[in-house]
Amino acid sequence: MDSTSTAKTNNIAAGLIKELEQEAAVTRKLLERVPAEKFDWKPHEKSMPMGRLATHVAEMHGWTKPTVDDPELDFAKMDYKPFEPKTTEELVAHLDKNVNEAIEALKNASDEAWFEDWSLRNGEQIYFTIPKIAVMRGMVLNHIVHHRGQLSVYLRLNDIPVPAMYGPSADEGQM
Amino acid sequence: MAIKDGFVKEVEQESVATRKMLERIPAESFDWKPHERSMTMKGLAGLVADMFGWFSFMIDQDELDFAKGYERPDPKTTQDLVNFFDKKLAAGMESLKNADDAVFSETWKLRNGDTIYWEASKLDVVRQTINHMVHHRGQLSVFLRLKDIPVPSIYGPSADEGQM
Repeated sequence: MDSTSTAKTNNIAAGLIKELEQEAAVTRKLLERVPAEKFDWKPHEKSMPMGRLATHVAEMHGWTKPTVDDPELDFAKMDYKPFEPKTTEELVAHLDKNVNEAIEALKNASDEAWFEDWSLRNGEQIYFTIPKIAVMRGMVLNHIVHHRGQLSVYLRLNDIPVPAMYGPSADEGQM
Repeated sequence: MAIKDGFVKEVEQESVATRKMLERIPAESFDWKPHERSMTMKGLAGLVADMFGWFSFMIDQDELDFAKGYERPDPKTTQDLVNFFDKKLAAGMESLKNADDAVFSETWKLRNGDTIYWEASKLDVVRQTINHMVHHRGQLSVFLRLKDIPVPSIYGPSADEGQM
């Protein structure tokens, strides 16, 4: 019998899942506080409205699966229709759905698969080709944290209490 | 691949957009804040500039104790702020580049005398510090927008720059 083991390790995915769960718990707290009547509010004419920004934070978790499963994302082949929540509950449900899908996708990712190349393109035009781990790390996870940080300012400007995130906020979690 | 390799690459990459933002913050706006409960522009930008320097005490030491004092940045000019960032980044990078895999399993504590706020592996502490920087830099990007300072493209185009 062939004794060569083909079992694949997925230590990288295990770390990413732990981090995603931890960050998503905080993200959920923020989204729960975005009132539907403020979805159209924006702090500046060039800013995203609050509803769009919050939905973007929720939908970005959904980028995990195409990062893990596919070698590229081609805008030319996409039929992107942004989700438009009508209520806070729909917004939070959208996050939950995308987080669950992301975790399921991550469970199937072997350590070696993270070092395969992944491209973002629009037909013939390639924006970048980088290893999948860099896509997941930068374009998905850090990108979510970036926009969630923006959203925390939107909450503050609307006098909505900002939850403690990496440490206490001016509103909650004082040491 | 060593654990530090991924971190070094990521920190180098994230530093580009961070520096670009700091370079655009005029000293006249340092005391401005968008809400009475917000940090000032200087407070937030100084924090963002400081954070990659935290790798030094997170990797080379086993704790940070607030009871022993912590010097907060107090830049007077944009150049001060950028120089401070460059200095902190260089120090943090030095520690990261010298970290072997075993270091990341060690425990690190954030404390104020006898009160322990946070205790985690150095791996988690470094990971969370990068996320933490990205979080506050995201906030800073809104501060820039509100002061009509062009927001650089960060992970993709902003409304001002880097349209695809």
